[in-house]
Amino acid sequence: MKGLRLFAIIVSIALVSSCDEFLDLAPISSSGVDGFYKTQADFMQAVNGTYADLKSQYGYGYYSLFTDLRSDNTTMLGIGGGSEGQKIAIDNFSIGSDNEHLLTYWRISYAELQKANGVLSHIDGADFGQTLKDQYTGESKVIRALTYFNLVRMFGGVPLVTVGDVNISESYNTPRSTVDEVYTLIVSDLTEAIPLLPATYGDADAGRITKGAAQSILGEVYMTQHNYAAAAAVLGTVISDGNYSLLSHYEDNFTGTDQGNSESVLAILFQSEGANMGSTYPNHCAPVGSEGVLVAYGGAYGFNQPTGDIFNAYTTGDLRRDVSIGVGFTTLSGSFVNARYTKLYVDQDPGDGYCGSDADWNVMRYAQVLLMYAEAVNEGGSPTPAAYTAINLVRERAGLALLSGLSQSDFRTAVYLEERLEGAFEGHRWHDLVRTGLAVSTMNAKLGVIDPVGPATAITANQLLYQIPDDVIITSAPGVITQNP
Amino acid sequence: MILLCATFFSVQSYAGESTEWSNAVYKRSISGVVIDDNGVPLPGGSVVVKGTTIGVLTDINGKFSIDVPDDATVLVVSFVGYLTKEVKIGNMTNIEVKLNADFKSLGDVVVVGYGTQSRALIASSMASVNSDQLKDRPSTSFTEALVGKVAGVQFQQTTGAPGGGFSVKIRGIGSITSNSQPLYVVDGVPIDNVISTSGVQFSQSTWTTSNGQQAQNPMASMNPNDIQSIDILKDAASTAIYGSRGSNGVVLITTKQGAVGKAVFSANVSTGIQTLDKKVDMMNLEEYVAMETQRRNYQWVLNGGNVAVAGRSLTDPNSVRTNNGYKIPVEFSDLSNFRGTDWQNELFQSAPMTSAQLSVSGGTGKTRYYLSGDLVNQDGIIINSGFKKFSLRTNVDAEITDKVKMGFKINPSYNISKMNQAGGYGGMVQSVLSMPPTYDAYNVDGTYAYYGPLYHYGDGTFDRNTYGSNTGNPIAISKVSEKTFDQIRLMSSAYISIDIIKHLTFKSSISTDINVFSYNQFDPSTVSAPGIATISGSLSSSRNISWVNENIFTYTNTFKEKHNLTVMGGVTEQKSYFEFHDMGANNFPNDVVHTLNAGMIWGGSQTKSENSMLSYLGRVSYDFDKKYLVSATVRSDGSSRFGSENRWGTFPSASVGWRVAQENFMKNVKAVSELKLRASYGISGNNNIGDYSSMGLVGSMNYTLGSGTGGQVNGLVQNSISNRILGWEQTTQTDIGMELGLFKNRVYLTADYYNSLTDGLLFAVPVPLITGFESSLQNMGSVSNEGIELSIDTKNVAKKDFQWNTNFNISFNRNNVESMGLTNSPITDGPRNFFNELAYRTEVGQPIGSFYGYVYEGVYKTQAEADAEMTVYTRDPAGVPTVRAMAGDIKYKDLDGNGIIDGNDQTIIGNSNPDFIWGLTNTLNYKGFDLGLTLQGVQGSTIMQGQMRNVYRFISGEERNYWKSEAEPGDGNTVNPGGMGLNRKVSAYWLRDGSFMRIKSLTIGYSLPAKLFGNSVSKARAFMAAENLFTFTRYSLYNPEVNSGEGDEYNNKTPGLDYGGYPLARTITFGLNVSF
Repeated sequence: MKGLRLFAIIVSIALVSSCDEFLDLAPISSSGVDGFYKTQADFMQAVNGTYADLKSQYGYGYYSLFTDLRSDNTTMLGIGGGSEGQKIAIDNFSIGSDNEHLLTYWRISYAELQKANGVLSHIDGADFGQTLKDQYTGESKVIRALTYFNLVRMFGGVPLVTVGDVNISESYNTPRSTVDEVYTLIVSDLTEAIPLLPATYGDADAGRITKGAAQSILGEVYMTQHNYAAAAAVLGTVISDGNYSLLSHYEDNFTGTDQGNSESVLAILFQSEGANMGSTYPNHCAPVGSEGVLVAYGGAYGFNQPTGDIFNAYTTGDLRRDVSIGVGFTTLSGSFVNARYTKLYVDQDPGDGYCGSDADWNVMRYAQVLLMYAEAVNEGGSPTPAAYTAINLVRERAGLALLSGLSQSDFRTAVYLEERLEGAFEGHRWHDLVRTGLAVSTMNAKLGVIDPVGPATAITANQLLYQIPDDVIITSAPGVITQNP
Repeated sequence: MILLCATFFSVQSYAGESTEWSNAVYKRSISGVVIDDNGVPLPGGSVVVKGTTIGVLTDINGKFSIDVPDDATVLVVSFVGYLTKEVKIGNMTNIEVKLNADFKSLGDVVVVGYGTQSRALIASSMASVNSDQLKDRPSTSFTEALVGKVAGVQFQQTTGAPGGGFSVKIRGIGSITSNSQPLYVVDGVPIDNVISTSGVQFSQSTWTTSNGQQAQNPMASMNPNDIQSIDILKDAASTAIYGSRGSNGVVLITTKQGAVGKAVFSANVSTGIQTLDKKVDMMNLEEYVAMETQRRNYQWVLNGGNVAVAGRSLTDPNSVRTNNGYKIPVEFSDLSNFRGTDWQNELFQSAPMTSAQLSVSGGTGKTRYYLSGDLVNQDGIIINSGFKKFSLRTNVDAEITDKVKMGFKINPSYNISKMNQAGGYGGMVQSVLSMPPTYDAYNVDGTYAYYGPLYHYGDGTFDRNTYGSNTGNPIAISKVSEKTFDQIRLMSSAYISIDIIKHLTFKSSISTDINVFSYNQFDPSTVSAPGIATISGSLSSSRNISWVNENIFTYTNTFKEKHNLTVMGGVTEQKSYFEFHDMGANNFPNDVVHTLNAGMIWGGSQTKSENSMLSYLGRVSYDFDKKYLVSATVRSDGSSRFGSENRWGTFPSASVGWRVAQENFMKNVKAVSELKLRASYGISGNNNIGDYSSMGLVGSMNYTLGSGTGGQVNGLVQNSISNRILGWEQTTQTDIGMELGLFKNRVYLTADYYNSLTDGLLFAVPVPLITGFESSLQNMGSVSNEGIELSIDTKNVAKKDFQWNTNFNISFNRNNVESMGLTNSPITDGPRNFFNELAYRTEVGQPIGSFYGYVYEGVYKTQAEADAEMTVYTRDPAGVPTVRAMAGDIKYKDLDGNGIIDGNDQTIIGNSNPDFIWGLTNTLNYKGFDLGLTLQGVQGSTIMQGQMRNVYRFISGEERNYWKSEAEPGDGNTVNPGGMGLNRKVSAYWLRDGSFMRIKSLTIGYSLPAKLFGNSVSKARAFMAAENLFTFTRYSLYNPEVNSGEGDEYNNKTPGLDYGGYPLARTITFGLNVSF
């Protein structure tokens, strides 16, 4: 009995003297952010994670909704309803601020910015070699600039966030910056990144952002600002540095198994092997009803189907048309369905299941660099020999006759068409139309032509920007975020 | 009464000779009989010599025989439910003891946290349900048997899935993000409800979304027949002893114990059939074809958008229509082309259920035991769903010396649920409610149909749609897709109790709960059309191991006969460890082998987490002469889940009571047998959040780099925002109550008023997306719940052969958001699992999770009416309408009067909370017959009917009277199914009255007279029981108690949503109870 009493007393004393150690539990399967951003390995992984988030931005079909489907290049043959109806609304210009895809795009863009900002906010205090520090800084700045460049082109001025750990109470009161302020950040980020980045990487790192990628994006930014001289200068540097060249075959840019090729300036990379490393994009492009025929796994949503307008825009002999566009498929029940589809993506290796495709997304190819250069030079007064060389490199590969002796205006028309066809279905068209001031006239000229879905009535300049998503306005303090007209 | 009590005592009574409890030296023998005030013998009553441990139990005929010491003067005779009586022995050798029924027994002891107390001496608000009220129900879970029985507790059977979850809300919702289910404590062991509260990486909602199945009931492993009593702690004074986990109320479950004596065997077996309690009225083939024709015509004209295309007409022939989706099938002209599938008949079935519970209990010398086994086999009313359960329990207690007791309890169980996704997007219920009757479930040859009907368009084109990629043929999916969820659980505990010195006891216990879940899914090729390779399988499993050690000192003493004091103090510590893994495979070569080894594993993951808690607690209870009652508790909890700066929380409470009827001045008021006034105040808390919630976490996100096909590189990204000051959510509650017993407590009334304020809400606050995140867990805002509960128990008839008891209870609760952080900005949220739409708002001055959308004012009957309203959806910069409503579109109220229907016209349009809930239970016994009837009612609740989002293809009969044309505008309240406009927006068009009255249960039994079997059988009863017999409601879909968001982390912010769910079953069961 005495022993038991002693036991009771000992147990109680032992427990009462327990301390906070019992309650200090560190996460087991993830690490806390407090211990992160310290070593070189931390930053390498953080930068890799920043790249990985580009997959959400470009790879799962959202980006092309706003850049291809919106334009005269692709359309959607669905019959409405649900999330499909919200895509149709983008296509036929009835999109409102409640569109779920718009909100998704906003969300993934800022999630991306948080990651890039996280690296940039902490890297100055870290202690490791300057070369890698420069590289990580440059990569993060380019990703931040690219994300803002997409946002500003879609929404106009957006809230500018440049730190990884945003103060939450301030975030409710952060208004939209002006378009100029956003471009100022984009240009300074790219300009600062260029000297920090290597011109090329070793095989294992192929796919990382190079100096040339930063310069090429800066070139497109200048083009968008109509600063053609600056654009011609920076794009000319990319060409003269000689780090890139066109592949012999246009279609080789879409194989997904030729990453880091000589034409790829910046691509978002997917992999068919490995869990959740692949793209769903072929499923989005495969026409409705082609499950099991054109795509081995998952659904076929057909939201990005080439229009008759672009199909007819290719001139005879253009090698790019038939490798880009499929015209139909035979169903499992044996009937042939006429349905144009973006063959370049649909034909990709499906990997081992849904979400498993190899289809990479080209943000920028050397062909775009050449064409923008040609356009920029021509805007300087007249098509110079360098401009002809640039455009003819692209035309020659496409199996087209070489151009010569055009007026400035004819050259401009020619380069616009080349930009449309060479960059078809790669998310350039809508931005190019807006950039060149041709969006309203081009779309309205094709009312009823873009079969069968497109704007029902003439569009106006207000529709060149998307609406700020309702959720963004509601979540902020009242009146802080203003809507576009 | 006999019969009621007979059941209660079936585990303790025995036939034959009395058995002694003590080895004292006997001097003389006394025999007798114990009867009730109607002369009915009471078997199993206790007869003890006062001041000793010498005692016996009465036999089946109420008789006893006891040897008493020479100096014995008084026998204490007691029986649960009766007033204890002391009988002077004198020189008597044969005594008849008549006990008076005590309808609200003063001697009734109830379980409170870390101890027991006499019910009469409790000044806080709690409710008790004993095994008597749970008996003979064929329910597989005890929660179902509680429905309608307890004031202030809303039991919602939100899913009819076998083994499915149950929502229990005690006194309203006091939490916005966190789980609002109560804490369950089984035999003193707080249950870590893994499926509902778990680590960051895994939560109940993970199960819900990953397998698309309604939440499982974490208490399903409990055998209802093992339960001796359930005590529900409602106010903060009673829950504060559970501190950080008490704010949602506490449900204390006590399992049965053996009694010293001969072994008593008891068996309950039942078998029954379950059927769908109600079929939804759907459009028939003809109505569907008419609607689809109209829809196609309008889609052609509107071009899939909401603006009519110039030059297109509703009557254009197929030949000019550009897309097959806009053409009218030739087949529509002759309905005999279709078989007209009744999809509900295909999905639902009559399903058998059987259950058997066996137990044996007793005791020898100083050891008592209770053993039981439970077996349930239940099919679901949705094809290919069901539930099986096996469980065992061993409870053993032993007195090692006169000062030391030990005991242990072991409860292994194994549940297997065969699942079929009923609710949510792509769920079977939603699928069959939107599946056209022109589609077939089976081809003529009996194989599954994967393609819709072949439609010809008379212009040479034809098509045949596959069943949608996301839905497929719900019957094929139901039948061939295999989804099983199983749970292996081992709950065990052991204790030692030591009387250290007189009046002071030390009790130390250790309890473990080992819980292993696994979920297996296999989708064979036959899930979808041949040729589409979709054979896939997945496996996920989790382990939760937790232990609790409790060390409690209790001091009880009475001073000067009238000062009764109990002081309790202790320390507890506990830790939970959680592990989750999953794996998926596809590329199975064929359907032969269903385990993942046959396919190609494409991915898997594993996560682990843990949490710990350390607590100090104490309570002082004092009463003077059982008249003036005072009690105070305090608990201090430290939890690993909170930020280092706010880890500890202290939760005090106090209650006072005055038993007025005990005062001398009341002695003359004969009618009043009890009058107790009580008041309590206390603070309790809530830590129902994920492990490591205060820390910003970094998780992996990999990328591909490298030339050629590239290789995977590891990436890390921040997944959540840190909040180092995250701390406890605290609920302060005041309760004022009154209990009134009249006519020897034949009428007993309990009334409570309460007012609670939950502060520092644990709230996943939506933050601007510019932060890179969607939400951040913060303490902000406060919510109040205020309510009144009334409960009245009456013993209407109390005759020897006829007894009739009634319980009626009714509760009113008002939920109100008092503040929302510094800015008081409302939070708009959506049921994101179901549709990406913001349909709920939590705003100051309104209940949590109010419905948010447009004000609905019917539909425009004519285009002129639509035009006259000038209600437009968009305008160009010059103010000219570009898109406007058409006839047949919904007319929304333009709240800001700016002529445009947009986000500024959304407002709070209602909430799901009922005005009041009530329950009525009647129990009748007439000779051998017994009858029980429980009604359950909910009044004034509102449902958001989420199917209305699919307004263009939802084909319930409710939509029958839709707008057809200006000449035939329908009922003026139902949209043109072909219109697009803003018809899909969340609006009051979706809201439905969810009030109902349900015949929850009806039981009829007959007990064979005991003498038929001599002494060999003490009880033999046959019964018929019906559950969910009928529901009176205006709600047109299945279950007005539905809550599709159940188990969802957003649940509290998105209540009352019907987006498909497992309908309730009407169950008719026949059974036998036998004890011997």
